[in-house]
Amino acid sequence: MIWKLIQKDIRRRIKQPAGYLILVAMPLLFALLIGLVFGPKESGESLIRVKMLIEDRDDSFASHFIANAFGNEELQNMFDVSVADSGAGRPLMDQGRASALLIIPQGFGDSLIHQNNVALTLIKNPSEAFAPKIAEETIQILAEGGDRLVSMAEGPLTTIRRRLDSDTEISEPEIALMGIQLYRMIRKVDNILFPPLITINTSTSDDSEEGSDLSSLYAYILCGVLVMALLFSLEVLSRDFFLEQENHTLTRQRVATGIARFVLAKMGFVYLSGLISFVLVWMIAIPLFGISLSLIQVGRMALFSLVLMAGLNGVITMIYALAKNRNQGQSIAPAVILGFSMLGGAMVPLENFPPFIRQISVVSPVYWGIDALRKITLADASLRDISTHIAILTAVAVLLLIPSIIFQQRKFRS
Amino acid sequence: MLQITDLTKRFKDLTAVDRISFQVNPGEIFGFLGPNGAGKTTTINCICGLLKPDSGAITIDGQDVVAGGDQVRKMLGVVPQEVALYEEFNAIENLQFWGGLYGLKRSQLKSRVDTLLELTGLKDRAKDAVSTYSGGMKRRLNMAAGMIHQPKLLLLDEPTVGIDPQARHQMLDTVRHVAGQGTTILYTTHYMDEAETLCDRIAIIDHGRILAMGIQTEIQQIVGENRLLKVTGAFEKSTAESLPQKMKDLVLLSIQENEVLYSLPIKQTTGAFLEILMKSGFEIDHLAIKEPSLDSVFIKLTGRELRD
Repeated sequence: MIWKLIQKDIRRRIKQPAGYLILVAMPLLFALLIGLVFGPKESGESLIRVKMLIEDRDDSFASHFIANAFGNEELQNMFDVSVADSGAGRPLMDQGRASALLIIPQGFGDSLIHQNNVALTLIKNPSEAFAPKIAEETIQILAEGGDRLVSMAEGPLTTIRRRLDSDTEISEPEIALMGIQLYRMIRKVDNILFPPLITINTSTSDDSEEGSDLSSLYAYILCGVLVMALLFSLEVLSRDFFLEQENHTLTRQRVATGIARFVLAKMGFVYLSGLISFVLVWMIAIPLFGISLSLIQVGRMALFSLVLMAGLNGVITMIYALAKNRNQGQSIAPAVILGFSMLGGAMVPLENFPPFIRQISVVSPVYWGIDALRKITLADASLRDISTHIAILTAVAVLLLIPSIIFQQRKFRS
Repeated sequence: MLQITDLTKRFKDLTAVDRISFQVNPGEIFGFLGPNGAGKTTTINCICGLLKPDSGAITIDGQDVVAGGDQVRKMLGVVPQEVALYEEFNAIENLQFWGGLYGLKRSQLKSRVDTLLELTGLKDRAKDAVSTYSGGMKRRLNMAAGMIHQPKLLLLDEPTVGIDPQARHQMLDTVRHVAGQGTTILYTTHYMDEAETLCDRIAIIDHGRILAMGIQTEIQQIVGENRLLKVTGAFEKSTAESLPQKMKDLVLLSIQENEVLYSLPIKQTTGAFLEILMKSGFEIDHLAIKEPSLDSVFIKLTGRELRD
């Protein structure tokens, strides 16, 4: 009897599949868009390009070194550098023509040779979010590297300083010797000047590995948005409790089967539909995003999805069990879903939140769902590794579904 | 078949059904007649288990409805007042689903679906989605869905509300056909003519209480052999009130600004009544004569017309 009721609801959905397909497509589109925006492109170029303006007021070897650093192969992929005349940088920034303006002050080179303190000025464009931040961090790295280079090159710099102070010329053998010394030092600080963010790309520039990084990024994003989309999907399906009442088909079902079977069947339908969505999303996502999963991982995912869906179903069914009518349910549910999703790291990685939010995120069932999915897909976690996740989601399901069944029966009986 | 004893159902301070008792015999069409809000649907909902009675007993074929479970459910068919169908399904899919809920096997189901589509005249549109049907067609399918499992007792809750006369006529024929095959029917309506032409026995209900019950002729005896005379036009209120003094057995039932209602035994001629009217200075726009009917019974019992 319950299976007949579930079959009926599935057939109704198949008759009008548009809404259902949108719900399945939603997480895929989200993952695709987020991946395209934040992921590396096939050519290795970043989608975010930083327009960097350098105002060189010093025009020395040292200032040229900073400006030329942006001509480095790795930084070229991210930076569009243009050099402005002295005093011309600020007006161009005010016109919004650059993400950041770096001012190299007059006497910058001399200060380095004499090992005096010197400051670079970076002016960031307030209308841009990411690019100025990237510029700031890159300049900071270069400054730290330069600082290290200056302290390591104390010997050659002392020679240069003495010669400059005594106005005597440096002989060619001395220049050659200093050249060798400086070359060795630069090799030593190479890793600091071109830090991991930049050098990782060069060291793993193999095509297949790039693809794998991108796939991992998609898988990471998909795990988050999928759990959120599933909650939204379950919410839409749960409206059927009230829709059947509004369409009077509940009356006839109650006469034929009693209220308990109706409630159980509706929950079963919502649960089963969630599982179908889950499977469909992964079936499309795996080939679409090139996500590589072993059969064992797929099996773990399948088993975990049973628990995940029960937990999520519990959350949504409880909302609708407490709602007096469909409008109330439709108003409350999205707020709860978004709250749990944000807290669970569905849209923004939890690492980006303040520590206290990370601590309270464990109250969100979404957190346990996303974390376990990511562990299975990205870290090949076993079921034992995610046993806490399974236990918590099972507890959520039991604690929410049982009272929901009672509340729903009571509500529709009256 | 159906036995109701002292059934009471309250909603907070409102007593919707107040200690009503009646029985419906096998194969009978029992009419439950009353205005909106009289307690008809509440009674139906108690019978089919949608509402739990506050007191009283309901048995179908000797089995208690409240404790009966699936066995009682299978004996019962309901045609609710509102159309209760899946609009995205076609007629066949709807009937198959509802029949499936009562445990009908595939072959049984096919035969029942064919029979009912033929009976309700929906065979030609059987594969079209219900959302494309007219109101009358939906009503007919709604009725078919309630009869798919051949229930022993069929509860029809105002099944003809809001449909055109032709569709209504067709539905009443269907009810007669089903009753002719031995199904017991409890038919609620607020249409007098439906109760008069369709039902073997009638109960008149108002404010949750049964006012009268019996076969049509028994009920009509409540008002005796009187016809109703409704006069519309211009008249003095005092003149209208004094008219019964001028004609023997004439009874004033109600009076409004331009309308006055009398009852007059059928042995008295309406010609004599018309003559008195003219002499009394009535300016008659319209005179309606109603022969003894359930209408007059209802007026006699409640002091108002059924449509009030």
